[in-house]
Amino acid sequence: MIYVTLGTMFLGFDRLVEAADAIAVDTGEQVIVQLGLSPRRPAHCAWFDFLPHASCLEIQRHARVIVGHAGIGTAMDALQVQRPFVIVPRLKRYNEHMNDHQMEIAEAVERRGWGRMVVDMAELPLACAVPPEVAEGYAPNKAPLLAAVRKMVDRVAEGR
Amino acid sequence: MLQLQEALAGHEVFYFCYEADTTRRLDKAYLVPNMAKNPIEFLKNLLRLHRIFWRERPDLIVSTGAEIAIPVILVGKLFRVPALYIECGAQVVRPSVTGRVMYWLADEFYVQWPELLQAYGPKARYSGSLIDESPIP
Repeated sequence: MIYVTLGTMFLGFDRLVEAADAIAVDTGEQVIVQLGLSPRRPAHCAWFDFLPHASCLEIQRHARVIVGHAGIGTAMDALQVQRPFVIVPRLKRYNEHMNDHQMEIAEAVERRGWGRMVVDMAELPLACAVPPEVAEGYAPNKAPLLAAVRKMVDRVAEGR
Repeated sequence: MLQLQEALAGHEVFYFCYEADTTRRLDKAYLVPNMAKNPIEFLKNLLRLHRIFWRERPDLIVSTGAEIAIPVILVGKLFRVPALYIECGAQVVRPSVTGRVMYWLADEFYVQWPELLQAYGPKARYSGSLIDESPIP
């Protein structure tokens, strides 16, 4: 099963919905699309708008490949469930986002070896057929950031 | 923000954030409509925050953005409340507009990708991340 996720962005991402439909038709593999607020419905995929976060993670754990828009929450979820991750940035020129910061996220994901970036939808079928390797043992470096916050909290509390 | 909760354990916490399904579940939160770039909502938020700061008397502001952080830190200046800002993980190479404003106003300023340090001045620090695995340089 391929899980395609468009996040919570209020703009549509028709290019990815169309590409998901084409893959479902061409390969016969089950494709599940989380549409969010994207208005166009796929004709050949199972789809839903939103589900509770835990349910979304559960579906992703069973996916052969996760195809996600390049939202930061989407990337964090895909990395957490440890499934092959194809990341597709929303682009401003297609009115899929307000700016092109998703390119930055997708490029960072690829640079770190966490997944494969696809910008041209023509490359998506191959990226799904031959998915990238899973970022085994992915673990964000949270502790020092939490410690920095804690340190300031303690300092403020002491001086009160 | 919720991933930072454990760093705030043992202290009374309240939130000031946009109305959304996720924020309605918070224990103690002041929810306001999404202000985006609406100047009227911005001014309304200044007034709301003035009342809230008067009532709550916070000792510290912690924010990861977005623009809603700006009226909070401005009112915080008035009440002399220090602020810690963590740039949103969605900003990898280029700073957010909110980040640029917060860089000048926040007492401590963190980015979540080392790549972003070059875009800010010396006050910006990378001290780990909720997303990135990079070690601290």
